[in-house]
Parts: sequence; C-alpha cells; structure tokens
Amino acid sequence: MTAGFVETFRSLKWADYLFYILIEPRRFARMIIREDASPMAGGILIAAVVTVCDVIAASLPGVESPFFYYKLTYGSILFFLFLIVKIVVLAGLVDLICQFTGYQGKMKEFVIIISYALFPQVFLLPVVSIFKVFHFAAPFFYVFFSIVFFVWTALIIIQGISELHGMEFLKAVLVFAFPYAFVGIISFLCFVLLVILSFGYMSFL
Amino acid sequence: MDKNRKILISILALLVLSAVLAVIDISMRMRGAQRERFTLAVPGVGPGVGIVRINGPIEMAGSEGGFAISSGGAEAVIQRLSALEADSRIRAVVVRINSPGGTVAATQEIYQKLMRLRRRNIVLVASLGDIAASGGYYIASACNYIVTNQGTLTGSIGVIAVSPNLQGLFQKLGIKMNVIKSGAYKDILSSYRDLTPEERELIQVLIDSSYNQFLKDVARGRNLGIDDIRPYADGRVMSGDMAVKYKLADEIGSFERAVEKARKKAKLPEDAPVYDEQRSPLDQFLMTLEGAVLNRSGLQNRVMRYRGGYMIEYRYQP
Repeated sequence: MTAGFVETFRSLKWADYLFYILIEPRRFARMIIREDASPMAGGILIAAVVTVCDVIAASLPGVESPFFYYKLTYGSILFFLFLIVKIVVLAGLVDLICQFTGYQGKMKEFVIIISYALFPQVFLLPVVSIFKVFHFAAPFFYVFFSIVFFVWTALIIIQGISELHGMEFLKAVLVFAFPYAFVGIISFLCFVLLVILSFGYMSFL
Repeated sequence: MDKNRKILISILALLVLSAVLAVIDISMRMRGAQRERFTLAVPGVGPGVGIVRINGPIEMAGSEGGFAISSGGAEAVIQRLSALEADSRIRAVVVRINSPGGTVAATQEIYQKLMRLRRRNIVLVASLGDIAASGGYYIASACNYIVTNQGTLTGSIGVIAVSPNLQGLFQKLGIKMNVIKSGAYKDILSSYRDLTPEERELIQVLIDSSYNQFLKDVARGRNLGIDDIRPYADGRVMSGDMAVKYKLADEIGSFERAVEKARKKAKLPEDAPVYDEQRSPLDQFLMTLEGAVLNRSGLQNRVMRYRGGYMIEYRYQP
C-alpha cells in the first residue's frame, strides 16, 4: 500500500483523482476500476484533511477558548477515527443492499469513492472564512454550506454507485439513501425503547 | 504539467493558506478575548467602573467544590484587581463585600492590593452586602469610601483563634495520644489536651500582633487615629447605621449607590459603563449545580468551616 501511495503521489495521479471527483465523478469511478495504483491511501488522507478543515471551520464563527488547540489536535484525531468508521459502515451498508439486489460486491471501491467524495467538504473552510472576514452571518452560512457540500458529496457517491454497477441514477439514489434510512430507523427505535425503559425504571424507584 | 493538475494544485495551495490564516485568526481572537476579561453591565465603551466581588470566607486559594469550580479566594480577587489595574479604562472600582472575614494573611494581601490601587489614584468604593465583618471590614477599610446597607452586619474588629478541647471526651473514651515532638510548643492548641498558661500567652502575643496590625490598617484606610477606633474595636458587630455613626462607614446605601458614588468620585459621566466579572455559561451552570448539591446535602457549612487545625483569623464567628 505504501509503495502504491508513493507511486500515485509521484505520478500526480492523485491530482487527476481529485480533479475528476469534483468535475466528473463517473470518470473517477471508471478510473478506480481500471487503475493499477491504489488510491486507498489518498482516500484516508482526504478524510484526515476534511476532519481538520471541518474542526477549524466550525471554530471560526465563535470566540474560542484555549480548548481550541485540544479540539484541533486530539479532537481532530477523534473525529478522523469516527469518520473512518462512518465511511466503512456506509460503504458496507451500500454494498450490502447492492448484493441483496443482485449486484456484485465492490466494498473496496465503495470505500474509495465515499472517502474521495468527502473532498468537496474541504471548501467549507475558505467559504466560511470569507463570511467571517466580512462579518456576514458566518454561523448561518456555516450551516447552509455544510448542507450544500453534503449534497455535493451525496451526488458524487450516487454517481459513483451508478457507474460502478451500471445502475440507473434513481436506483443509485435509493441505494445511497438505504444506509441513512436504516441507521435512522434503528436509532429512532433505540431511542423509543430507551425512553420506555427509563420511565419504567423511574416509576419503580 | 497538465492544465487540470495545475488548477487542482493551486486550489489545494489556497486551501492550505486559508487553513493557516483561519488558525491564526482564531488564535488572535482568543488572545483578544482573554485580555478582554470584562463584560459591560451597562451598554457603552470607554472609561468606567470595574466591579470586584468578595463572597464568603476569605482564604488564600478559595474553596473548591466537587466540580472543581473554585469559588475564588484571595488569589483570584488579587488577580482580578491586577487586571483592573492594568486596564486603562478603569477609573474607579466598586468592591462588593459579602464576607464574614477569613485568614489573616489572605485578608492582608487583598488590603495591600487595594491600597496599591488607591495609591495609583483609582477611586475605590466599598459596597457592603449582608455581612462585611472582621476581615470583610478590614478589606473595606482600604477603600476611599464605604457604602453600607442599614442591615449589613459589619465591624467585628478583632482576631480569633479557636480550637476545640476534647480532653474530657478522650479520657471518657480511653483514648490516649502518643506525641513525639521536637519542642515544647510543637503541638500547641492540640484538641486532646488543655492549653498551658505559657502556650496561652504565646498565642495571645500572636493575636495581639495581628489585632494591632488590624487597628493600624483600618486607621490608615479610614484616615482616623487608632484611638478613635479602639473603643469599638472589641470584636462587636454593628449594623450599617452604627458603623456610619462610629465613622467606620461613610453612608447608608445600596450597591447602585456605591456605583454612582464611584462614578462621581472618579469624575466620570453618570452613564459611564460598568465592567463586571465575566463567567462562561458552563462555569455558571456548574456553580449552580454545585451550590444545589452542597445545599441539599448540608455539606456547604462543613466544607467551608472545616479546618485541618487551628487558624488565627480576622473572622466573625458567632
């Protein structure tokens, strides 16, 4: 993997990956299917960069205490680990639903696509910085552009899924929405059960 | 190099630059916020009145509750006074006192700090709350002007050292202490035996020395002679109007009146801003929580009153 990473770095293929993930996600999907060098390490690096940029962007609108430095160091590592878990879980669930519907398993490609698809989120930092400099509702635009960049990320992933399996766009949307619906329903049920258990426990105190 | 790659690398360079600038911006704002330790209690900017609050027993490091939120202590008060001293906007300081006094050294340190501000021509006005007795009054006497409520408990000029004598109880229970000491007075004021006449005399010398310093400092702060104060400096507590009568305070009034007086004495306009202490919402929440827990469990008094051994204090101790 290290040799693959060094080779990818020296060949500047990573610049092509990043360029096409922004401009033409379907072409990126085709590239990762046929490329020899592994773009996996680059995906992990992108997750790390996105985490740091997000921590800084979230800190920009307010007035920070020295806790900011903890947030930037230990907090970034923590969020990075969460993000890695999130990528793997999301890729796993997308792959699961694809296999259930008769497609071939492509877990590795999904992990790569999802991690590269996070790349647009790094633009949140310069965008929020501009609103911060002009003192123009920075907290609002932080939330607004977080949503915008999430939608961009989602569109990249959906196009990637569609390209990898030769799937229709709408079907790819459903496949992408499945993990969110699944986790949402499970979380909601857990919450309801937890509330019932808590009330039950308190009523017998 | 391919044009697309050049564009992408330029974007990445701009991203790195914006990240570095953002971190620098956050760090600079953070430092600015740390310098700016005061919030405006009244809208406005420019020269104004700073507020310092002294609540509860006076000790050097202050008491720490279960949530590790320090209730202050002399060191925190001195830090706050230093910050006000360094702030060019502060022309007057209102010292709000709600304290029965405390340890000798902590009280004297706050007194010295206030005198330093007074020498630098910062107008000091004391506002006495529920109680400003003994060490609480000692601190107030460093101010140019003292405003007291009619119902404030003040005075109690004197020094006290208290130690329980549990000898009878120990004998009853059959408990004996093994003490190996390097000198005759090493276990002076121990709770398991009576005080010898020599020991009593020794403690009395300490008490008298601290008492004389108390008198001297109050006289200096109030611009009175020691003999003017001595008749009332027998430890008696008094109400606000009695304190005014004995010239230990200047007028009856509320905290607002003290702020008005500070503005007037510092020749500030009537609407000059008031710079009060700033606490983060998290600190306020934790302190409220801590107060609720201590009150409910009845721990507050025990926490505040517990002493590992005896102390000589400027303290009103009914």
